[in-house]
Amino acid sequence: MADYLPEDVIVRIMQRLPIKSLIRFTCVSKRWRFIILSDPEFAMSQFQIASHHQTLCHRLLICTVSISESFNSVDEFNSLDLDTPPPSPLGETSLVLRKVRCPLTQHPVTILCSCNGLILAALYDQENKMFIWNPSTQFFKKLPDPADLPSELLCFGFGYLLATDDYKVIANFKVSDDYYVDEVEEEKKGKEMHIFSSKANTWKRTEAPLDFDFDFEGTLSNEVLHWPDNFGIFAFDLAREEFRRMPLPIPGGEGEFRYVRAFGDCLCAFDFANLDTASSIDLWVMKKYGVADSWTKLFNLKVSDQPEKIPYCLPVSLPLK
Amino acid sequence: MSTSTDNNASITQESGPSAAVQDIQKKIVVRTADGEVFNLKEEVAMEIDIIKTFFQEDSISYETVMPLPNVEGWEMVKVIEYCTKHVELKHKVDGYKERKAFQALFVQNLSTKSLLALTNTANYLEVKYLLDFLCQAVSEQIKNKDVDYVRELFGVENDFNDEEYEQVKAEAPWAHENLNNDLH
Repeated sequence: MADYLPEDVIVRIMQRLPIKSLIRFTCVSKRWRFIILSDPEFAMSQFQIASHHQTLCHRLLICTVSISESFNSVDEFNSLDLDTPPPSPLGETSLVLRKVRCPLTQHPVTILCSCNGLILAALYDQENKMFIWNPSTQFFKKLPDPADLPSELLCFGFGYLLATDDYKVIANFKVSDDYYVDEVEEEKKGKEMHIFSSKANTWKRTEAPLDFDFDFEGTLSNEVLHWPDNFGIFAFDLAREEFRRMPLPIPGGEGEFRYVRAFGDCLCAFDFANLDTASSIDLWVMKKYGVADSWTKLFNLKVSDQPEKIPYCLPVSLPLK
Repeated sequence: MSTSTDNNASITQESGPSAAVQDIQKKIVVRTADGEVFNLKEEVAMEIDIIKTFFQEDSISYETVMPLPNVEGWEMVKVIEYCTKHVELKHKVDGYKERKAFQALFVQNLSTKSLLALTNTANYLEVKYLLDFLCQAVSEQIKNKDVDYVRELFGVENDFNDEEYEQVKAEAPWAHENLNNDLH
């Protein structure tokens, strides 16, 4: 057949290339650069194929703030390869950080969370702006502003729905004191969850339970975001866009579950109840997602003899290969 | 020049009891750009969507020779080879290893240019699984090549001026290192 390939076939080939090659090929031509960096469909399909072939590599994004010569604060981003073995303690090689360019030049950029290699970031100046950014390909999208000029961001979450190929962002904002007519309305409005769908490219709103009161990231597992309190887990189903309650391992508020994290497809919970007395933390895993009986205590983690320093540690999970 | 190429031996008549179990599958005939004529078993032909559409949806008699003016003879041979194997493995429960071995051999002696031509053909003929496999094979071959190689291979013109090119290259200099431009 003729020598030249139609563009859709070239795209099929591109979807199977590793990131390093894709980034290099942004220099082939302006059209190739556009497809690789700016076409959101390409970004989604490339990620799915790479996940399927397990050719994704794991990198950690590190952000630091430095002061420039003109005394402005500048955010710097570097990434660290998590797949190569760490340097030996006696060796001379140090960890290799790779500088990452961020399209946002204003400060301060707050990295909120990430999903599938995409970063959810926010810029807090006069208005709140949120962005989705792919540090590998520099794909960058500013989200439309949620209506109602919200102020401080309280809790948030970011997840991907495979069935509809849709990225969803959820956010709960604290509304400023002088905005509402009366306290009742303020109470109600404060419990609204804003949901953004990348497919619809709009925000909508749904009600959050009155006792939902968190100001940090929800843990994503099985396309649901989770926040624990002592009586259970608030679960926000991204597909159904509604809240439900899930049980924690120890009923009746006997445990002190500060964090839940995702390991593989399972949800894990960290019980700090024994920290003061026994200097230990219990790790539980929900072996079958959604099945209360499947909560199993995996191990008891003895911590240092200075338990008062532990309360602010944050468990970090890495994706399982 | 016109040669008739069978992809199996079912045409030859055999005497004896086995003759009764003769393969009487229908044949579909296609002619490629260079005048070669191919007899395909119906089940293999139906793997090729453009052929399937031509005969089934338009209810054209199987006696018609379908012209494929965009396809070369050698490409047809390869497509038939792949589709025949695919049909054979469909009925096998554990064909993974066999498929992998077959795929490795299939692309072994093809130059990158030939691979590209075959990819184009698979796209034109509408054989999705072959297209996906060939795209994967091409990506393997080009992933460590530099920008000039890729432009030449795909016939893409460089529309960056020198300054623009240096700028985009400077975004990620590490992506242009450790390449392998060996001729394939």
